[in-house]
Amino acid sequence: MSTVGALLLGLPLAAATLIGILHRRLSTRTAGTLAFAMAATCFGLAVAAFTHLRGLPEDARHVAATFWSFLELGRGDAALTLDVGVWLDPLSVTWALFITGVGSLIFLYSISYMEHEAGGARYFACLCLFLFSMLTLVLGKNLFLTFLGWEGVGLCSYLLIGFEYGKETAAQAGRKAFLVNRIGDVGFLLGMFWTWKLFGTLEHGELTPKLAAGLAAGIALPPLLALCYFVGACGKSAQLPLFVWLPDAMAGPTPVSALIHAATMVTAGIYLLCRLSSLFVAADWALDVVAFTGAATALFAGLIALRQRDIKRVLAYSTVSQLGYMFLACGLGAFASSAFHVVTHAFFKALLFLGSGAVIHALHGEQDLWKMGGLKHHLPKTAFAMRIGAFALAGIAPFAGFFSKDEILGVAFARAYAGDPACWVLWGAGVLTAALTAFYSARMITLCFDGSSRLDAHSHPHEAPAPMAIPLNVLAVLSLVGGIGLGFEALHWLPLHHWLAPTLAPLDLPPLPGALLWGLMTLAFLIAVLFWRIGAKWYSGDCEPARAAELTFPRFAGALAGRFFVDEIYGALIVRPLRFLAALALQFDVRVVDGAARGLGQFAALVGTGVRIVQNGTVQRYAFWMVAGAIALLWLALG
Amino acid sequence: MAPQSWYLIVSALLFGLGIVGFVTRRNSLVMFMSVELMLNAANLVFVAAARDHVPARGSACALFVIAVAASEVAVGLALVLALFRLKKSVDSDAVRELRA
Repeated sequence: MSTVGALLLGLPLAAATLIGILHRRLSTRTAGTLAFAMAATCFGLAVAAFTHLRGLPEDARHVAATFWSFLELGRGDAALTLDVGVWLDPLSVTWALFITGVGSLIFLYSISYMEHEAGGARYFACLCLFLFSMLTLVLGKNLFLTFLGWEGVGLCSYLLIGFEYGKETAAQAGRKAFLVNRIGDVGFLLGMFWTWKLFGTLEHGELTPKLAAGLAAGIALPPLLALCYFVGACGKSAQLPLFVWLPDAMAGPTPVSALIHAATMVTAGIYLLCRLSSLFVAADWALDVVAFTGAATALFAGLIALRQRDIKRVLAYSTVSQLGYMFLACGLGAFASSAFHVVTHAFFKALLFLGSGAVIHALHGEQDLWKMGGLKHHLPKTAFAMRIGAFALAGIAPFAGFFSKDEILGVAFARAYAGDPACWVLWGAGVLTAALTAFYSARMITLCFDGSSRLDAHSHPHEAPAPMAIPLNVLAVLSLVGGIGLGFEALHWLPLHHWLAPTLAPLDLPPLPGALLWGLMTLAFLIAVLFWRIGAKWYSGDCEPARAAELTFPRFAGALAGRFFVDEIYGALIVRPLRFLAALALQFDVRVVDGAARGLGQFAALVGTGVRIVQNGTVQRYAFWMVAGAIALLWLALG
Repeated sequence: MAPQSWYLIVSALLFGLGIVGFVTRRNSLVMFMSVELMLNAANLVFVAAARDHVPARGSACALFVIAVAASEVAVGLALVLALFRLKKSVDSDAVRELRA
């Protein structure tokens, strides 16, 4: 198994290096084929790791492999040894499976999508590097390696968002993503130091037992420690207040949005929460913070998504909103439900992004929903696949999103039912967000595919070529069966939960009675269908109801369209003071630091000007001074 | 026999002439001759001292000075020649490249 682990990390790195070195010589198609072959092989390896772990007894399902020692410091109890190696357990392998699986589909899609773009090979080099970083993050055997991967995906995300670096918006979005992610990274780093201080280990395999031993010995776990990691997770998984980078990240090519900003990278935060679930559970009120942040983010982003014009922006905010659901689940202690939603979300969100990519591709770069319409006649297959994805996102049974989302809402309800009044708020926010989700999903689909065409007269959309259509179809099938195949709580069919159980903190909650479960499911289903119908009705035809609503609440509608002016607020509160500070520092540098250096030079030059008067190049003058000097010396000697 | 002070006075006069010649004249050959004048002023002191005090040492020093002066002439004349080739002039004001 250690070979499998080594190959899972080594192959993407090798591919990234190879394509990176040769990127000027390789064509997009060659580089893409190579990258796709690598990603598909990685998926095969992940499946091999999965079957291997399945063959082991349930409480021994983990494999550790150490390749070499990265760092050794100190001796005895204070020794810090950091090894480079992999840690395969149900949690990491689950992540590896969908990263490589969904990843290779997106790689395949990219070959065709990027064919006519300049620098396609560079794109694939970054993509391979991203896969390597993500797998390091997930499979690394200690928190330190996870952190390295964490930074790696941050870097790749910067490279890929700013892929078209000639465009100012893309370059800016790349910088923004990088900087906002840094804030989260500080939290992660502090958390690691603190963990090391308390438990003396960063190994994934040792942390939970040491934590249990420490708790038994009476160590109080500071909630702030968990919050440090939570800040890191907030940055990477785009939660309030650090979500602002994700919508802007849509400046990158669409497959990048699908891969990084929907299906894989943003789930790194959830991975961290799940990985440290025992720590979070033990950390008193830390989980409440997670839950409320998640619920607030879900609702906030869901509201913003209602009135975005850019199809990718709608999807971006829906991603933020769905990530909020996952945080909510973690905060309620239902880590397995959160992981379940991660997996189904990876399926349907990748599908939606790739579908929107096909639409944008067909319209030669048009992303404005108001300039689409009626596309189902031109792109019937894409429209069909997108509709499945949107149903899954909206949480309409039997599509994938329904089961995972319903489970999260069920847990919130069960907590409230078990006597925690604050959880009614969480449940309410979750249900409201579900309604919003159905509404904006319907709006997006209706504006894009239904009704009459608002296209430019000379535009002739065409269906995507096969390499783009195949991933869409596979993901559509997964979005259809991925939910019911992995978990259906009311029927006690929970394979994913049982599979993940040894690695996650258990949910200490009595199960709801069956009748209540079915009732909640029906409610969620009805809400989703109802709001889908409303959304579709509002935005079909000439959108009369939507316009009327905008006129009734103009300020609220304006705030939604303006994304609650979060970017403007950040601009005024953080960016402008920082720019001012930078300008001040620049002045200090130019005036004081440079001034001191230049002043020294000028002083020397001044002395030189004074002294050079005697150096006029005339031999006689020199001789005169020599004589004068000799006389002066004589005078001194005699006098 | 003339007293030693006379020799010293003549020597001082010669030396002064040399200095004045060197500082005031622009022709490098004349400047060169002025240097010789100063050297020989020193020689005069040496031989005068040799006559009255220590004959061997004073004469030896005078001989040294003559030898050094001879080699200096060789170097100096070569310099003047090179200067003339470069500037078509032996005027010392023609070379002012080292002016700061």
